[in-house]
Amino acid sequence: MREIKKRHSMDVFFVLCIFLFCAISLLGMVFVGARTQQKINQSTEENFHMRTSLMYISNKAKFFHEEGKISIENFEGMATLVFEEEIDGIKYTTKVYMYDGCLMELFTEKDYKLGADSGTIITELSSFEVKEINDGLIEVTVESPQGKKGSVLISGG
Amino acid sequence: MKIMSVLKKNKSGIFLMELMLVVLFVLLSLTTCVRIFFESQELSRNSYVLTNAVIQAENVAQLLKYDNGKTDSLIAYYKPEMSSDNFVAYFDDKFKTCSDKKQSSYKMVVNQRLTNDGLVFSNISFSDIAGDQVIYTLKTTVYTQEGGAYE
Repeated sequence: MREIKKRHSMDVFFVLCIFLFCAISLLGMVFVGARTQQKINQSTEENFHMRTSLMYISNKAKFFHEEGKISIENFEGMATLVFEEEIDGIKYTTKVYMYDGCLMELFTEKDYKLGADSGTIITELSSFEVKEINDGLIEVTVESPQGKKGSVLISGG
Repeated sequence: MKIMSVLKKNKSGIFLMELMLVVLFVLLSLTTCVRIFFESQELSRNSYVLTNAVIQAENVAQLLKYDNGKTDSLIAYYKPEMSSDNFVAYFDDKFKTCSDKKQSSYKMVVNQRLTNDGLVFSNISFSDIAGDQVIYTLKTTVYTQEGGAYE
């Protein structure tokens, strides 16, 4: 009788061990999966903000590749990249600047005055710097809200 | 009685087999899931590296365009190593230029070829130092005659 009881408790112990192993493995897998997902989300978001802003500026610059069409101005105390174009004899400007934590674009007639809050939000940024390295060569440096920095060069002509 | 004891033994054997199959299935699932998680992390990292490689290559193209095919601004901005027909700039894992080759993770090589027609062909390639794998290549052409156009 005692032998039968020992065997029975060994069986239960073995089954419990396997159950514990399965439970711990599954919990571990959920934990690893959650951490990985968190890291991927963070990396995707950093990549998105930085890439969107730099590629937007780079593509805008390629469109305005003629000499004298790209300049730096001070717009409401903010360093602003200004792209100038003429459509049907009327001059228009596209201003790219940072306002209220976002990269903004404002497209207006050249002499028309609109406030910085009238622009269209492109993406979120924590900093936006525009610097003229040489005559006609501009460096734009952006920083994503997560702290990643990137720079793009624009040749005005 | 004999039959009962045989049946009881068989039940234990079958139960044990079921348990082993469950454990095997859990282990296989875990292996697959963990592999997928690490592959997705690697994919995310590769996407970040490719983004930065494209940005750096386009920066070089803009510098060559600014100088009309010459490399003065490229040398001033990146301070690359120069050999007979190419320039090599090194980057760390955060894509900042670094002069120490041992601490660098990536390199960018710019090869130039001039023709008699006034064309300057440049091949900009960005690669990983560890595996020497090319991540991104950009080919540009600058026409250096008067009123030159960028292509």
